[in-house]
Amino acid sequence: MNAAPIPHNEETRLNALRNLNILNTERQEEFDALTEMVSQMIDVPFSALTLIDENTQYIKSEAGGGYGVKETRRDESFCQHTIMQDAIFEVNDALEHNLFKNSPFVVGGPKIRFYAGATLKSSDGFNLGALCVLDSKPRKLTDEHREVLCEYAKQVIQMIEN
Amino acid sequence: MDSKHVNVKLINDSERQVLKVSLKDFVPDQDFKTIWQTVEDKFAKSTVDALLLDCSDLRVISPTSQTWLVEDWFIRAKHKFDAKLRLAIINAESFFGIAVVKNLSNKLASVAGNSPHEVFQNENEALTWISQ
Repeated sequence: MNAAPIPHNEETRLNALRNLNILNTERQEEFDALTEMVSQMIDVPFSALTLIDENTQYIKSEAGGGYGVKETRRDESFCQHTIMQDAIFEVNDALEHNLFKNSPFVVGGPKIRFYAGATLKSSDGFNLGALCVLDSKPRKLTDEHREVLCEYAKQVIQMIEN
Repeated sequence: MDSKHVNVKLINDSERQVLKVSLKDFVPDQDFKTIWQTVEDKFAKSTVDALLLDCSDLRVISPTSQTWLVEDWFIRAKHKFDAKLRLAIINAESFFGIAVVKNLSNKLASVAGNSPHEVFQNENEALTWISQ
């Protein structure tokens, strides 16, 4: 299990997240269309839009059925690390990564080997979750794909806030 | 036809009949297929020379719908109505809408054969091309 890193502004971040009233809501087909587009653009089998609450990672949408669940424990998630930074968080081979080699999503389930996530940063500066792409094979994002992922994440958070 | 997702109307140009389909906001997959069934019905009932697909207010459609439109609906319509059907697309203004139009254009290029299609920034440009 990963030690859960906590952002310095965690309390206000959680308030901002909860004020969106989007946790525990029904799946929205529009977000599914967006994650499907991200998968297509970056040519990965799985992509997901996640929100990181106090103890839970909410999977608001996913394409490719990677996680196959609506939520996971925060301390098991890759995206808890993504929200700690503004740059893309990339794990090229999870089996070779100390934080993830024993993750239930790596050794079981979707058997994730590759993860790259871009932070969903709200307009008031809180890192609420991530737009991420995953693969069951090790890989590395190209510069073009990094740009696509960042731009899509910016657009997705705007849609969430609107 | 006018709904929260689409407006469909026939434009009677002096030389051509143009069916204008304006997509709006996010169009769910099931609604998308219903819209295009309506468009197909209108094609069957009139002598349409060209299709004007206005995506300027489109937010997004899923890749599944994009593929279905080109590889299923468009190919069927081409065979059923006119192999030389002209398709003019007015580009979207939203980020994801622009990506959708780009995808559609790329997919069309691979299946359109002798049915010309082009993407334009506004309706005037599109209608000028259609009337040529």
